[in-house]
Amino acid sequence: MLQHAPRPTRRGQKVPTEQAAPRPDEQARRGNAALADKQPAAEAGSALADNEISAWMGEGEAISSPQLASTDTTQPIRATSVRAGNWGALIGKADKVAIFGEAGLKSESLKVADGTPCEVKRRDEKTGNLLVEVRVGKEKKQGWTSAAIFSVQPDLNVDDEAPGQRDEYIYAEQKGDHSPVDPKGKDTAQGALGDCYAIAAMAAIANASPNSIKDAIKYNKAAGTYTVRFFEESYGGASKPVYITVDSFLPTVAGNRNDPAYAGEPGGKLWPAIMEKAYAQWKGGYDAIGGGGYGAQTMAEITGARSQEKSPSSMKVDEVIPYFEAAKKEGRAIYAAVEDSRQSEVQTPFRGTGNKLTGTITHTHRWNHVVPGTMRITDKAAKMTGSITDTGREGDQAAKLVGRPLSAGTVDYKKNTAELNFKDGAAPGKAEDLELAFMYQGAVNAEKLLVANHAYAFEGVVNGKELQFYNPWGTWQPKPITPQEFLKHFTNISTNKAPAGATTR
Amino acid sequence: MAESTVRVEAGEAVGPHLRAGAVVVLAPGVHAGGLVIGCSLTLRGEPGAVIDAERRGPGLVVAEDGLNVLVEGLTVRGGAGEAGGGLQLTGWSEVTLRRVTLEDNQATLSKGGVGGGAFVLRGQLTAEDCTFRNNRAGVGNDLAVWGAARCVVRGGFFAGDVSCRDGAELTIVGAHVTGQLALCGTTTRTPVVVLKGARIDGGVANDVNLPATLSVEHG
Repeated sequence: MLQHAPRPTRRGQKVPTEQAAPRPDEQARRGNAALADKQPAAEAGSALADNEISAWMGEGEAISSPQLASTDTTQPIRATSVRAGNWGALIGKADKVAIFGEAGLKSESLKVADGTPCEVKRRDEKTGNLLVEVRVGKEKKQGWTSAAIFSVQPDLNVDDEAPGQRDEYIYAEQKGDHSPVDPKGKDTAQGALGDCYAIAAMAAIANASPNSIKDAIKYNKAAGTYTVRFFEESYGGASKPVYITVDSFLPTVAGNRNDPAYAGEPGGKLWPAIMEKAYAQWKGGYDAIGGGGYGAQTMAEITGARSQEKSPSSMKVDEVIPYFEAAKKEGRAIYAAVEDSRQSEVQTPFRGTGNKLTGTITHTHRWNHVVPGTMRITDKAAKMTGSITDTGREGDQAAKLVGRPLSAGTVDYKKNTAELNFKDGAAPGKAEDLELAFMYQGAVNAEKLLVANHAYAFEGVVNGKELQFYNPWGTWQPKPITPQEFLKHFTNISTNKAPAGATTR
Repeated sequence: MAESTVRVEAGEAVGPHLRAGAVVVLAPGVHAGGLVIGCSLTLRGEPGAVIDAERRGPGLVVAEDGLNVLVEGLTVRGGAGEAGGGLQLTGWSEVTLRRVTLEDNQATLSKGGVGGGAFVLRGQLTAEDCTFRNNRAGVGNDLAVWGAARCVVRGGFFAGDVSCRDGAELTIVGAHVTGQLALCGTTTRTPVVVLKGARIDGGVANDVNLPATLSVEHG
């Protein structure tokens, strides 16, 4: 399908260890934000120390005439009651919406993009006005606004590269099919959120039981909202439906209100993004579902039927194809996850002379990257005293290199570069003698495009001898794999059979 | 040794001995992990007994309903999975871990997976004087109790974090958690967490919008 053709400027371009299907344009933006993010959040209720904010209105004054979306478009869900800690977005109908400072401070309002996510810090009981905190580039800012432009929305994912901030996205209305039409796994396209388990679960259900998807999402024409049905299991196993209502305002990439940042693609099917949003709303926000989850549970929550787990380590090679064929014939959704990929490697990347040596680490696949904290540099000629290690921890972009012979050293895990500055007389005889041992992860099978720590939805058996999986990124689709490759790389399988009569809401 | 008791030497396959009512005693040394327990039994380790899954799946899996499983006196390591590297309890069964060490297990899906040491989605886990350390996950790197599961922790040590979500119930009595206890419900239900004389060094992160019902008793 056209919308799922690999697009170099979109998902799947970066090292995929967090499986958030990051995009290069987003990475660039995030990088800039991370560099500049040193400003502490403004204290609640304090004046906004920014020249662009003025003309203050007080929390005790009514904030009148907010510009709201007209009734001819889908309405964002407004809050019936709001309290501190609620997440949402400021949605009016203009390009910008305003928030105001405290009474007595004469300056202009702060204008932020329509759809800007916010957290409620306080509610004025007298006027109903809300003190909200928003992200403005590298900073957090606070101001008062009318509750009339506050819309209930799931909180965004924590921005890994901007400590203390949420993703810098804007909620914008997305158009699409009001009800899922012929849903398929291929409709799904994971965005910049680490919920591959949920998207792969949706894809697997859509492949095996499209009616389960169709029946789960109901469009409320009068309100312009969607009600998504999930199931929750009580202690002992009884399952009951729960209904979560969301609108079609989705987090979008900065500068493109038609490009969903999380699930969904411009012009793509809307149902995966609606279902993801409802799942996030139910479970405590995008950040709550983006940190990890269990696909077997998600499948059960979609269909109401319990998933069956199986460990590939308990299977023999000749059992693999029959297992998948039988499961598919029974109409079971099949979901599978790929192992962690840590592998060791030794290279001699350092070059130069004297006390300063530099090196560039090379990888056999662009998805691969060094695992921080696993580097060890030794001198095979034994001219250097002692060894050198890196101080990084998982998630770090860069770290120091330390060791007796060094006066200073750094490694940039993102750029795959390292620099060593030796104490006088401590350098090795030749830079080429330095061996760098490290662990790396990324692609578990670059030839077949299998990504580590990632979930896939099963599509079918190819030519009776290979398995075809679907990558929930919507791109970087794996090539068919053999049973041997399946047993080597996959750590679990979950299947789910939607109950007959699933059409009853 | 009772008739239903069998002693398994290191290196010998454990799986064939996992029969209903059996007391399976693991001799000191390393035993291959990835044990799928499908019946009620006792798995007991002699000092130095280790189950190592070598990253080929969770160390122990209990997915069946109605079982009563006791695991005591051994170490489970090297487990890997999407959820529950060391122990994955997804059946409506009762599992007791007594003096068990869960270490170097990982749940690595996505940004980290759930419950590196143990993941409890259904049934009840009782962990008595257990040690959780050096386990890796995105959420609850030592222990995650989700869904409608129940978990009681009595004594023991957690080097990392504990997660309780959805409508799960978690009671921690007299244990030491050096990481964080993270709690979050859903819009339709609330986790119930009881802390009695528990030490949580990393603090309790109770979600502002979907908090757990939390009661703390000192002493």
